[in-house]
Amino acid sequence: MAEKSWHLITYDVRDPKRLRKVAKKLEGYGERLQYSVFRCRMDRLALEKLCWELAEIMAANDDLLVMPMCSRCAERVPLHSTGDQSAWAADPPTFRIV
Amino acid sequence: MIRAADLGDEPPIRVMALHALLYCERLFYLEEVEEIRVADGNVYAGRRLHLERVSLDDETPEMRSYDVSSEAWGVVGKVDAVRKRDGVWIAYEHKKGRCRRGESNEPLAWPSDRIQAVAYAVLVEEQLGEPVKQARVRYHADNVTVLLDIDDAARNDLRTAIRRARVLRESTERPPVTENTRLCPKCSLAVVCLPEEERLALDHADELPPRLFPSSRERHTLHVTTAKTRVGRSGESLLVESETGKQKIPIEQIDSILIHGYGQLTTQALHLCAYRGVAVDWLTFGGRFMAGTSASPGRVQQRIRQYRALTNEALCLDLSRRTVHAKVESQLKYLLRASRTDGAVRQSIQEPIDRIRAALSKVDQAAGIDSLRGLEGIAAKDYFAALPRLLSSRIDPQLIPNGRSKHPPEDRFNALLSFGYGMLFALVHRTLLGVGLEPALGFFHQPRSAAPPLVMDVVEIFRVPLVDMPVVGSVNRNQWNPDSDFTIAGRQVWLSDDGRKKAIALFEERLTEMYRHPFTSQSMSYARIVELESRLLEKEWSNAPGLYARMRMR
Ligand code: SF4
Repeated sequence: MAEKSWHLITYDVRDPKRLRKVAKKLEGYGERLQYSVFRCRMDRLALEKLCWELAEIMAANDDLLVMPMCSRCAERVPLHSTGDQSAWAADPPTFRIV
Repeated sequence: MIRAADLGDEPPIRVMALHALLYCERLFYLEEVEEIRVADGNVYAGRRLHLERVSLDDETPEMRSYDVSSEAWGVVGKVDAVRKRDGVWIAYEHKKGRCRRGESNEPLAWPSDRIQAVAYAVLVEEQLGEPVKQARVRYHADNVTVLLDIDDAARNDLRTAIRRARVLRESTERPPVTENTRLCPKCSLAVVCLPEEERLALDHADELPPRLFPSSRERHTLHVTTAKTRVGRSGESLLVESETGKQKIPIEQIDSILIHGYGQLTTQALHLCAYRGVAVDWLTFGGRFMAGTSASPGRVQQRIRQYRALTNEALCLDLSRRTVHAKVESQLKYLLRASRTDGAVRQSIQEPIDRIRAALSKVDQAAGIDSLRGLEGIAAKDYFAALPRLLSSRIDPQLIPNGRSKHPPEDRFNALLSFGYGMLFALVHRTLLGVGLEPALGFFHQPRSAAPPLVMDVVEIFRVPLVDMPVVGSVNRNQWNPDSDFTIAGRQVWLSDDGRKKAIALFEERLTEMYRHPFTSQSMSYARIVELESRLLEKEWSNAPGLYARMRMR
C-alpha cells in the first residue's frame, strides 16, 4: 500500500450549496487551515476516493487544486507561515485516547 | 441465443461482471457470487474518469451514461457513451490505463475491455433497434482508441462469456487463483484473495511472492475512556467533546472506535461509522468486551462453507490441534527466550518448561478436543506459574502476581493481562466480522455465555505475542505506578484512568510493531497479522487449507 503524504487542497466553488457540501466532504478527510484551504494526510486510495467523491459534487465550472507535498516540503511549511502550523512533519500515532 | 424462458428468475448479469470474468474467473466469483467488493485507488480513479470525460466538440447526436438491458441476453449495464457517426451508432468505453499491444506493436483492447465494449454495443443495438457495427475503447493513459468490429465472432464470444458466467454463478466452489501472476498486483481484491499465500501453499515457493498484502495499518483507532466524553457527528467528521474541549476528527482517518466504560456515542455518529465501515466496540471499564458493531454484510457463500466445515468433527479437531500447538509453542518459546541469558532464572523455571514441552509433544496426537483441552490446561498452569520469574527483581513487589486470577483479577499484574486480553478479544471480533466470518461458530471453544467461540479460538494464537510479552516488558521497564495506575476494590484490582490510558497505548503500540510472518516471510504490523490469519482461517474451508496458525515466534 502506498505511503501517506500531505496534500494541500484548495477549491473555488460557484454555488453556496455545493460549497458547503465540498467543505463537509473535505472535513471527513483532513483539517481546514483557512477558509477554503485544507490539508489532508492521505495515501493514494484515500486521494482517489476523495477526488471521486468531490467530482460527484462539483460542477464543471468549479475548480479544485490538489497539491501533493513531499515530506521535506511539508516540514518547511511552519518556517514561513504564521498561525499554528505545528504537526506538519510527523505521522500522528495510530491511536487516540480521549 | 439465451432465451428469457431459460433464465427463469435468475437475475441478469452486469456487464462489469463480464469484464471481471475475462480478467480472472476468481475475481468474478468473489465479486458476483460471494459479493465481496473492495474499492481500491484504481476503481475510484476509473469512476471519476467516467464523470469527467472530455466534452465533445461537434454536434453529433450522443447519449451518455446510458442504461441498457436485454432480457434476451440476460445482461444489464451502463454504457459510457453512444454517438452517431456518419449515420451509424458507435458505443464508447473509456479506460484509464494503457492498451494492449499486438505483435507488431499495433494497439489492441484487453480481452476484458473488449467483452465489455461488445456487450454494450449489442445491448444498445437491441434497445435502439438500429445496427451498431462498431465499439471503441479509449485508453487514456496512452491516448489510444481501439476499434472493435461487432460481427458474428464478437457475438459468439459474448455468448460464451455469458454462459460461463452462469455456470460459475451456480457453482459453490471458489475458482483457483489465476495463473497469470501479473494480473494480481492490479486487482482490487488481492487483499481478500491472497493469491501469493495460496501459491505458497501450492508449493510455488520458488517464485518470489509479489507481496500484495498491505503491510501496515492506514487508519487510527479512537479510544473513548471517560464517561464524560461524547462522540457526535458533524458532517463527515466525528465531533469529540470532552472535558478538555472539542475536536473534530475526519472519519476517513479512523478505522475503529472503542468505548471503554460509559462514554457516549450518538446515533448520528453510529450511522456515519456504519456508512463508512468503521467498527465500534463497547468494553467494560475492566476491559471486558460487551458488544460490537461492524458494517460488513453477512456473506452467504462464505458462511455456508463455514457451517459445513465447522460441523465436521475431524476438521475441528485438526484446527484445534494446530491452535493449541501454536499457543503452547509460543508460551514455551517465550519462557525459553526470556530466560536465555540468566542461568538462575532458567533453572528456577526448568521444571515448568519440561512439563510444557512434554504437553506440546502430545498435542499433535491428541485424540479429541477434551484431551487437547487437558494439555492446554497443563501448559497454561505451568506457564502462568513460571511467568512471574521473568519479572525483574528490581520491580515493586506489588506488581508481582500470585498465579492467574481472571474474573475478577486479584492483583495488578493480572489486571493488566485481563485488560489486554479484552482489547485483543475486541480486535479479533471486529476483524472476523470484517473478513465475513460468523463469530458464533468455532472449532475449539464451546458456545457458552456471551463470548463467541470463534473469537476465543483465534484469540489463543495471539495471547503471548500481543499481550503477555508487552505486559511483562513494560513491568520490567518500571512503566507502572502501583498506586496511581490501579484502583483496589476489596480483593479486586482494576486499572485507574491513568493506568487504562497507558495500557491502551501499550497494546496499540504493539500492534504497529513489525514482525516477519514466518510463513509468508513478509514483514507486516501485528495488526495486519491478525487480519491475515483471519483470512487464512477462512481459506481452511475454501479450497486452500493448511495455512492458518502457522505463525510462530522466533
Ligand atoms: S488477486 Fe489475482 S487471483 Fe485473486 S481475484 Fe485478483 S486477479 Fe484473480
